[in-house]
Formats: sequence, C-alpha cells, structure tokens
Amino acid sequence: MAFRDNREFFEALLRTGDGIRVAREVDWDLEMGAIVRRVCEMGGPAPLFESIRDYPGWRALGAPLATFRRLAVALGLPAHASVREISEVYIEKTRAPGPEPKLVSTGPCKENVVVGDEVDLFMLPAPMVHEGDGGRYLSTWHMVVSKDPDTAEVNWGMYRQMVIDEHTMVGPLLPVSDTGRVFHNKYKPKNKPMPFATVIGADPTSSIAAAAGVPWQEPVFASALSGEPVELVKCETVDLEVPATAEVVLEGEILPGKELPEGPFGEYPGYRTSLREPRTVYRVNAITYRNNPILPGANMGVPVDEGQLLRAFTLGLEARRILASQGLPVSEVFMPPCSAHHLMIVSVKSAVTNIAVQVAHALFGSKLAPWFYYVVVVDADVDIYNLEEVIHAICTGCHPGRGIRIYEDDIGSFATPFLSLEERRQGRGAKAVFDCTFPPDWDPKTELPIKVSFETNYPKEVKERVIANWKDYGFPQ
Amino acid sequence: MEFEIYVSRLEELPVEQECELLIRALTPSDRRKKYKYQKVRALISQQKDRYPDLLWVRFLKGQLHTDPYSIRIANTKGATDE
Repeated sequence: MAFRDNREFFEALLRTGDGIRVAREVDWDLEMGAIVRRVCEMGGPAPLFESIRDYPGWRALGAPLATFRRLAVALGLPAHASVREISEVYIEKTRAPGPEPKLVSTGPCKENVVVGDEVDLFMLPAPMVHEGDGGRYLSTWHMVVSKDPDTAEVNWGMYRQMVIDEHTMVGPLLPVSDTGRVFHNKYKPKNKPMPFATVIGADPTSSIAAAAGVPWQEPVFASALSGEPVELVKCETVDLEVPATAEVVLEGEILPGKELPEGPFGEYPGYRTSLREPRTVYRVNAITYRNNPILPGANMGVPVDEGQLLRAFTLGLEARRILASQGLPVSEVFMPPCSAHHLMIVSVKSAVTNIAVQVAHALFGSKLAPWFYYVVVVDADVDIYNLEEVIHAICTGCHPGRGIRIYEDDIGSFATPFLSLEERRQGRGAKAVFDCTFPPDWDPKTELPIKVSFETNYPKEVKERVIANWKDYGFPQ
Repeated sequence: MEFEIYVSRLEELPVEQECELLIRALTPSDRRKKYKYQKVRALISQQKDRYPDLLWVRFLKGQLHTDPYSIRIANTKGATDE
C-alpha cells in the first residue's frame, strides 16, 4: 500500500509496534536529539514528540526510517520481511519508471503560508541535534528540490541545512551531488541565484527516493516505488513543484558568491569528521506548512540511522542494477548499514578469472563511487545478508597478498574518518577490492576447497531426518 | 548575555582590539532564537569579567574551550550583511 503522507505512515508504524507517541514535553535543544540518537543505537521505535518546549502546536518525528522493519512497512511489506525480501520488492517496483507525478491545484502543505519579511526560521522547532554542532539543523530528513535550467530535469536530494538566522540557512552543496553540479556549473559562474525548495516531512517513498542514488528523476522514482503518482503542488515563490502532503516547505534561493561557516555536525560515518568551513548559503523567502505540523529528523552518528540504512540499502541495489546492465554474472549486492555505506558486498554466480576486479572497476567507475571504498566479492553460495558468513568468506577465501587490490589516489567523501584532512577537502581517497572467490582454474579434485556445512556435506535423506527429529532430540524447535 | 564563537586556534581571537566576528547567541530573550548567528563589531578579552557579556569558544570540531572570554558588542548586523 502507498502512504499518502508521513502521518499515515506513522499510524502504520504504531500498529506494528515500530512507532511510539511521546506526550511528555521534550526540549528541542539537545534532549530531542539525545532521545533519537539512543533510539538509533538501540533499534527502538520511531518517537513522535507531541509536545516541544517553546513550540506549542508543533510536533517532531525522530528516526522515521532507521530500521529495516520501518523500511518494510514504508514499502507495504510486513514489518518482519527479511532484507532480501525488501530488496527484491524494491528492485521489482523500480524496474521501470512509475507513473508521471500528478500536478494538483493545492494540498495540505499550503494550509499555512508565510512569505517575505514574515519568514522566520525560528518559528520551526529545528533541533540542536548533537552537543557542539555548529547550529540547529532544520534539514536532516528532507529533500532539496531543484531544477536544471537547461533541461528542466528535477532533482530531489538530501543536503543538510543549518539555520543561521531568520531567513538564512547554510550547508554543504558539493559539486559531486546532482543539485551541486547544477549550482556550481550553471548558476554560480553567472552569479545567478538558484531557486530551491526544501521539503521536510514528505511521504515515505518520496523521502526514500530523495535519499537514494536513483537512475531516474526522483519524482518518477517515488511514483514507481509507491505504485501511484506522487501529487505535487506549485511553490509560492519559485518555479518548482513539491509533494502536496509535505509537512513543511521552505522556498528560496541558493546564493552565488556568498558563503558562511557551516558545521561541525555529527555525520553519517558515526564521527564528526569535516571541519566547520565556508559553505553554500540558502536564502528562505517563503515557508508553507500543514496544520499541527510534524517536523521529522534524523540523527547521524554511530549505526544505525536512516542515513546509513537507506543510503546503504539503495546504493547497494543501484550497484546491482549497474552490474546487471554490464552483463556481469552478479547474484546479489548488499551494503551493510553498519558499514556507513563504505562496504559493498557482491556475490557472483560464476567465477570467471578476475571477476572481482571487473566488478570493482564497474562500481568504482560509476556515479556511486564517491560514497564507498571497499568491494568484497564472494561466491553465490555465501549469504551476503549474513555478516558472519561474509567474514568467514573474507577470512577463508581472500588471499592476503593477491586477493586484495588497492587503488590509490581515487575519489572519496569529505566526511570519511580515515582520510586525511587534505584528502577530505579535495574529495580524494583510495579503494580496495577483496576477492573472496576461488580461482576458476583450480582443479576441483585437488586444489579447490570443499565447503563443509550441514547444507553441503550430508545426504538429503539424513538432513531431512535430522530436521524432522530435531525437537525429539531435545532441541528447541 | 552569553555568546559563542568557533575558532581553529585561540590565537585567532583578536583580544583588546575592535574587530568583526560571527557569533551565535546562547541566551536570547526569546529562547526560540538560541543559536542565531549575527555579525558584530566588538571588543573581546581573555579575562571573563572585563566586558559585560560572556563569549564561549569552540574549536572547529565543536570542542568547548573551558575558559570563556568576555565581549563588549559595539554594533550588530545580519550574518549575511557585508
């Protein structure tokens, strides 16, 4: 089922035990952030804060998609669906572009409209997420909507935004991002402001589309994911469209020729890595919002938050699509969220000589490359969703000398903890592939190891008898 | 009143000379405006009692310096004003 908005989604989370209402007043200044952080680290239910200090009438939702259970619910699956099942549904739903988004005349996000001098970002309960952060981060679970002025191609991207004053936000809009590419190449050289709209609290599939690295324009991807056209409304002050049921929309311009210090901020690898540095300035000219609004937010830190979970989940599946499009014999791809989306595990169906290197080259050369560093290639009999099996495959299948290939002076991300400050600033890094497949030219009779397991080393009738009698042996079923 | 500033090193703080700084408010009368940034022309001192307001110092990764400075703000303008 498709959720029309974030509210229907939260009601579903309540039904599965994956959401909780917090009636007690909480402080936007660190307390809310601390609760959400603990929820992420404990895998707890998403809290809906119904009473926020200084902000009567406002609510906030923490960690809306920080678990695979919540992701399953968002995609219309039972909460207990396995990661493999969720992956297959995601791939199936997004095999082809969805219906075109539908433009509607108005929507709940227009219930309150504030424009011009009346705009005041401090009317929104932006949390102070972590102690020491450079400011209040209004946008941690959101999408920045923009349009390419030449192609009219729309982009929804998740680029964090920190409040500076009543009208101003600042954030990293990196040239490697889709919106950053358009801003830095097409607006900044002409000293022209770039229109934007920040959508906070869209329906869950639109949020997933914005967080994912997707092959099509995000509104079409979101429609494919939900199975229904996303309903969009026109903005008040810029030529952009936003999801009609969003909780809050900020409209304005990204300013060329102006930068302000941004950060520091607790980032997705689980560290505060990048320095406070001059970054892109957003001028907000209008705010529209729903009645009794809900401000959703993520809290980046050690795993698992929705940034890690969704980026890992979607990057892994986009990588699978890329590898399949190259005709490579790939079975499955999984990025464990606990890797902070730095590790891509790929299982291959047949071991062609150096298939691991071919897989790695295809991925390191893709647009996903800035976001991960390690590729582990295993045989298809390894369950890549079972990290113990993957570690076993690395430790028994990967030769420490010839099985690991290092790529120096490659690309990287500004937030990666193991990179030097200089590498982070320049977007440089390194990459490695771990080939855990056995060489195909090894003689099966003498050289190729035989895996020893219950599954592979017993006759069918013995296995069936053991399973059938398991309880009678005295084991719990 | 209390304010806060980020620096890479304490030596960056121009003590006892009027200068322009980007600071954020920690104790505004309207609590909703806590952490609002503003540009100020001000005098600062390493002695915390020398000027009327406190200026806390953080480093670029958010670490708080334990000893606050004091600050006297001569005038204030918006964070994006030239």
